[in-house]
Amino acid sequence: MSGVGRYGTLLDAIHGVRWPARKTVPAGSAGTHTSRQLGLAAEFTAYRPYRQGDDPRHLDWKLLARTDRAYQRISVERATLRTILVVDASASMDFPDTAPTKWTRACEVAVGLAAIAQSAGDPVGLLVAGAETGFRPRTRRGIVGQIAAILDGIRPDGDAELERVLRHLEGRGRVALLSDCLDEGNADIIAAGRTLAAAGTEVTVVHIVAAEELEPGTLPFDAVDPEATRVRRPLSEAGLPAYRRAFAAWRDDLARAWREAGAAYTLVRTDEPADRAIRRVVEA
Amino acid sequence: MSFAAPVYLLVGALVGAAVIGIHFLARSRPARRLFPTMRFVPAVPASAAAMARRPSDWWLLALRLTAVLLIAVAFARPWGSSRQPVQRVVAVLGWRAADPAELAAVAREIRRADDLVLVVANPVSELVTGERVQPPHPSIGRTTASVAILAALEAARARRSDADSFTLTLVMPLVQDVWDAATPDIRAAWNGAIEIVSVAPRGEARVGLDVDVSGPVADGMTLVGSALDTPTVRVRSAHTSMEDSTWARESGGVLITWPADSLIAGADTARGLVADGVALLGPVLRTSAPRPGRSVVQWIDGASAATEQPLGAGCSRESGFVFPHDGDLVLRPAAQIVLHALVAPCGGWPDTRPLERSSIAALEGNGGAVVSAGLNTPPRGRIPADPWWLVLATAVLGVEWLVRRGRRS
Repeated sequence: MSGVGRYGTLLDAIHGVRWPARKTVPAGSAGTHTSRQLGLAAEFTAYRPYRQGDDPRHLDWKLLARTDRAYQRISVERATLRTILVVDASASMDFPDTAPTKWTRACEVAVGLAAIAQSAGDPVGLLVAGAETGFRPRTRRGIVGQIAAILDGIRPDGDAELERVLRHLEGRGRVALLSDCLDEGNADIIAAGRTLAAAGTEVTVVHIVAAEELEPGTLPFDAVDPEATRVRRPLSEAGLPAYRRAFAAWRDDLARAWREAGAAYTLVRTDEPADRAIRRVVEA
Repeated sequence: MSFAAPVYLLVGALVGAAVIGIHFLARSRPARRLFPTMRFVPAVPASAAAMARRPSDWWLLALRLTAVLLIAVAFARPWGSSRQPVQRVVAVLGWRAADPAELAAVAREIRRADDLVLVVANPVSELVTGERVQPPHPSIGRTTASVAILAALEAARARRSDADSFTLTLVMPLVQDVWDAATPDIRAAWNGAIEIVSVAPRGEARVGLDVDVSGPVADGMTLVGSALDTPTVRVRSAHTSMEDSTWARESGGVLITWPADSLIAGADTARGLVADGVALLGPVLRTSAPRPGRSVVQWIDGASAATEQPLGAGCSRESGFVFPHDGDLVLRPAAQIVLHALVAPCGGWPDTRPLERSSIAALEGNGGAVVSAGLNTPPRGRIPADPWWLVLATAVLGVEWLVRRGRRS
């Protein structure tokens, strides 16, 4: 099954979920996110004393007549938020051998986030790091199906070069990075994310972790890095506690680094239902 | 099938046991699995050796054992089943002062059916292939035990593939003449005992004379020999005939060329001659220098007065002196010794004094048979192994390498 059909159950489960911007968004076309710009919408918010140069059409004439003081009516503007989903398609995402893999879970979360954003009228774009494919943010109908079709046609392989992808993103908006964060240049990726956040972009990091990475299962085995197959290390019962400690410490460091960079960080396990994971991501 | 060096089979068995032991040491790596978070796995040795109940890698084990076995067999050098355990070499020493017929009779008497019989007569040694042992050919050279041992060694080496070991029996008289300076060293080359069958030396041969010269020498010759039906010595004046040369060449006799009387007029007078360590002092006449050859009689100043040259089976001797017609010099005992040396068999009179006991013991030596492998001393730098077995072993090792490589990949 390809297209959005495979995600039907998931989309039903997240129907009505909102993904609000964490900060006010730049002025733009009318949307659901609170805009940084105050305007003259019907929804009254506050009065502001009239200043020379203000448009007299915005004066509250009734108040002027009653109190002989000139005030302008201020209201909150709502705007859309450009959302780009950056999905890591490196070889390490194709794990474990049995479904759900990190890649399938990333696809489900990406399609779910795209559907939520699209339902709010946000333009949604896609970049698949490692597959060199995607498109700029769009608002047209069927964008979710297009994203699903692209992701379903990709098999993760090779190196994603996430840092290069993030450096090439421009403009304000929202970037959701879905990755297992196992790229060798993690520090550079976080630095690129920090640059984006400093420029006003909302960065959301969805860290996909396989349940088998947390609990390796049958031991021992020779662990081989999918992106550097010559490197092998045996993992046995004796080495399992040390592995768990090192992996947990790395995850904690990674979450702290992303949060310090101004990003919203959410860890998603592959054995976690996708709709629940999406709710946690949008609430982060 | 027997082996030239079976000790290598034992070595091969030990190496094979070690290989089997190594295969019981299971040093296996766990199954490979792609694991993205491999970087968090602590770096520890990937495998550890442990004793297993069954050997691992049956195919590799079989190939390695086969290679070890083939290499061991290559060094052990197998022989065919037709080999004899022990081959006896009988060397009949054709000593010049022994009766050839008696030598042949003794050899026939001791000979067994599977013996390798050599009739050794310097400079020719002959392998007797038939049942009958031929008497040695007449020889002008001195045939010693050294020559017989060398001939036996050569024959044994040539037939080392026919027997596991060799023994040597020498048929010869035990006299000083069979011993020379090289005998101890050559005896050491035969790394085993030697059985010696002694043959009695013939007494000093009678000198049969055929003298065709006149003068004092003719008179002197009658004192050292006599006219026989089959002369052993011909004495001719300056010019010898073709018939004389042919006689010496075929019969093994001694042809003496005596200076013609015409030369006496121009001859110098010398003070004396030396032969067999005895000096003849007197007015001996020096006619001309003899041709180069083995010195038989010397002038008192050391120069050769008479020399011997080989001539077919016999020899010719040339005298460079004559006795004066006046006086009785030729009748003196010392002159008889000089003439006795002149009429000696080719090569001189053999030393028939008995061989010392120590020399006999040295010849017999200690030990047993000589192992065939010991005769086949390989040249320096060559591997003492059968190349075909090594080629087979190399092929098996190549297959083993391919199998091992396939397992790795």
